[in-house]
Formats: sequence, structure tokens, C-alpha cells
Amino acid sequence: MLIVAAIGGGAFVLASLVVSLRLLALARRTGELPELLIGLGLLLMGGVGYPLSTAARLLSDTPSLQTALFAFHAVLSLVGQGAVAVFTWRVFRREEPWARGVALSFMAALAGLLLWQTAAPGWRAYAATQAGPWSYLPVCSLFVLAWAGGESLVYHRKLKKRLALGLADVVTTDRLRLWAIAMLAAFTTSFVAFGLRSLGVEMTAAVTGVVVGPLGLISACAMWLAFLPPERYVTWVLAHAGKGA
Amino acid sequence: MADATAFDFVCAELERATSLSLLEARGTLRLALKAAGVDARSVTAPQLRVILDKLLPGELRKRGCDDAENVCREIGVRLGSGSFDGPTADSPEAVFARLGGGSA
Repeated sequence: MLIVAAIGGGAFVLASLVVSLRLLALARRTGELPELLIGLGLLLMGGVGYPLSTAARLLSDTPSLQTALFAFHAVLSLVGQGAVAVFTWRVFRREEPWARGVALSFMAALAGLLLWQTAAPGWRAYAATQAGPWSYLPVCSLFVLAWAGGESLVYHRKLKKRLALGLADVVTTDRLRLWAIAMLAAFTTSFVAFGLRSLGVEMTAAVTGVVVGPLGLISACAMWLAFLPPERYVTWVLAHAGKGA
Repeated sequence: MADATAFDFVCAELERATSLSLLEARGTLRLALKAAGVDARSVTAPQLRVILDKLLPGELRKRGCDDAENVCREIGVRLGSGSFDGPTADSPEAVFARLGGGSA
């Protein structure tokens, strides 16, 4: 089961890293905000943040390093999750004041948790017990992943209707579906892990393998196909247009 | 006409060409837009021309408009001769087209 977890988790980290770097390179070329936000979000949450938090949990023998890693991970989470929240607002609900309020409140809440943990009881205490204000981070992660996946799914449904009238591009419609799958698979992984931890279930290799392995792989594949689609996949999508793109 | 949106233009034309009030015309067009998966705030003139051709005649017939096809065809022609904002580069589909390497 450890191998299953490693394959799923590793694929997720690799896909996040490669896709995010490609999107950041695109942002540098175009100078546009959405690619910068989504690239930053994927890099800091999946490419760096996820392996960093795993490493931090395993480093209980070196408390000072573990403390530093947890604190650094908190800063990455603040920027990464904030970037995904702002991406969702700016891309899907640009004109909606409530969405701006949600995105800004989300960032303020994350910053508040980080500052609260820093002020008291501090990051050494968090490294030792993984309790305190920052232990509410999974709630924020679940929210931002659900919002990103949900908005993408809603817009995908609209584009499917437009496809029938020839008003949408097949590959772009499929890309929104894939982004929704990637985000909702990541949401489900976080939700199950958070739920099990809350119920006091020990996160053994077997438990992690069952949860992280398949869902991590699904999220990684969806992300890859969305933003780095092989030519054969695009051909397949075009060939199957109208059969549920 | 420069300040009017394509949506407002079609609603005004529907009110003029049918027995619908402006409110009814807006509601009817909104139903057609919903069926097409398009928002009234962001709908473009080219999208509206397709909706006028494929969806709106059916909605108008349901509301007792006998000459729905001709009404929609005429509005489509007038819409084509007007000047309205084109598709925005920051719409979700334009952003996602760019993110995959496609053109905006």
C-alpha cells in the first residue's frame, strides 16, 4: 500500500511541478494574471507544499528543522491557496462582488490563522502536537478546492450547451472538465484524510495508500491532460466531440 | 447604439417587432440564453445571432408569435449591422484556451 501511495502522491507532485512551471512560463510570455495565479497555486500547493508537509511530519527527530518546515509550509499555503482563490474569483466570477468578498475573506482568514499560530502558541508547539489555530488549515484547503472544482464544473455545463449550437470549442470545454476533476479529486483526498484524522484513525501506509494513491493519480492525470495534453489525446477529444466532451 | 449591449438591442427589437412588453422580451431572451449556456451580461453579438437563428424562434412561438422565424431573421440582420463589443479576452473559455496553449 505504501507503493500505491507513493505512486499516487508522486504523480501528483510531479504533475503539479511540471504543469505549474509551464503555466508560469506562459504567464511570463503573456503577462496575464490567470496563468500566474494558477501556476503559483499549483507550484506552492502541490509541487512544493505537499512534499514539504509530508517531510515535516516525518522529521519528529529534528524538532527545529520540523518547526522551520511547518512554518515555511504555512507561508506557501497562504500564497498558494490564496492564488487559487483569486484565480477562481477573477476567471469565473470577475464581476460578482460576493466572489471578490469570498476570495479576500478567504485570504484574510488564512493570514489570520497563520498570525494567530505565530503569536501563540507558536510553530514549535504546532510541530510537537500539530494542534492550534493552524490545524484548521484543512478546512481552508477543502473550501478552496471545492470552490475551484465547483465553478469549473458549472462552467463546463454551460459550455456543453454551447457546443450543441457550435458556440464553444471542444478542447477548451474538455479542459474545464479536467480542471474540475483535478480539483475535486484533490478535494476528496483532503476530505477523506481530514475526516479520518478527525475520527482518530491513524494514517498508516495502508490507509494513506487507499486514499492518496488512486485519487492522487486521478488528479495528476487530469491536470496533465488539461494543461499539457498529448496530441493523441486532443485528437481523441475532437473525434469524440458531442459524445459527452 | 454604442453604449447599448447586444442583449439590450435585441430586447428592444423584440419589443418593437412583437406584442411582447420589454420585460417579457427580456425574460424570453433570457430563457433562450439559459438554454444556450450563455449569460446575458457577457453574451456577444455573434452568439446572439446563433441564438436568434436556433433557439429564439421556438421561445417566441410558445408566446404566440406566429412569424417568429422572420422576426428573428430581421433582428439578426439589424444586429449584424450594429457595433457592439466583441468577445472578451478574459472570459473563462478564453483563459482556459490560453492555458492549454490555444489562442485566446
